Amino acid sequence: MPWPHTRKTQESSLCPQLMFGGEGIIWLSFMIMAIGNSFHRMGPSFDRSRFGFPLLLLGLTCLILLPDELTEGGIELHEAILQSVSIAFPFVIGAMIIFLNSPTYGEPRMSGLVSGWLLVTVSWIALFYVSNPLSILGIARGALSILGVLASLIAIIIGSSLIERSSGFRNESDPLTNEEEVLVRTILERRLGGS
Amino acid sequence: MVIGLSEALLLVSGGGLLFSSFALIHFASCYNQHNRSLAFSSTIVIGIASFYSGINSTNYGKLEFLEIAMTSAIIGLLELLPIFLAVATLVLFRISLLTNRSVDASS
Repeated sequence: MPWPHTRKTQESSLCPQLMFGGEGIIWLSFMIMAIGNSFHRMGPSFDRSRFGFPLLLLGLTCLILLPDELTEGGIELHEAILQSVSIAFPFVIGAMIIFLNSPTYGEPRMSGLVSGWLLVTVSWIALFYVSNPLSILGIARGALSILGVLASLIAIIIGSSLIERSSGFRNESDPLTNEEEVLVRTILERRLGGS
Repeated sequence: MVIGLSEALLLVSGGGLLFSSFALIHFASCYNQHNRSLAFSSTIVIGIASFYSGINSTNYGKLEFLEIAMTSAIIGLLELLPIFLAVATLVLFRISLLTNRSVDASS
């Protein structure tokens, strides 16, 4: 994978253009994908969840197709993303096909398994073809990035739990209306087979 | 070629910045009438802490540091893709070839 840190030039130190110039579309795409993922994870109880998957696709499309007039660091980031997508995409599709055709999660079908494993193999071939797959330096950099992510995750969990504890209860939920009671009863009877 | 202390701090703070910004976006996107807590403020605090701990160990300007740290963190995470693929392939191998047990509602 390329590395922007060591090859940074004087040209790319034009601060205002870095985040809002040509590379702005990359960060904007990441934001759209993050918003789409959050909307999607909210579930069907919220109207905005229906926009989740389209936003994810929109962000991914913008990330792959739109970046233009990038700085040196931006070009390397974009290339790294494109390489990873070209490797991960057949793998994800292959994994889904394997899941659907495996004896554990679906109807076992040999043809599906073979096609899924073919796609997984294609992604491994792409991995070895596109880039030097494993370097100690790369793994060390990835481990340090993961360390930062995990430290941030733990700190945010602790901070959120402290804030949630200090806020206490605000008010109790309203009781179910008659319509809601009927709906809940119907669902439970349907699921549990009660009369 | 080895990773220097400033580069290591850049990567760690970049990872922290990356996660805190995604967490902030998540909290903001999921804000609703049933969840009006101030939990998102912790992401701002962590983001600011990551930013200043990283910027004090490097000679970059603020926006430049922000961009380089987050870019480095993303590329660093992408460097781990082969390991992730290897683990996922082992799981797929186990699921598809070594298991004959079907999953039903009781399992």
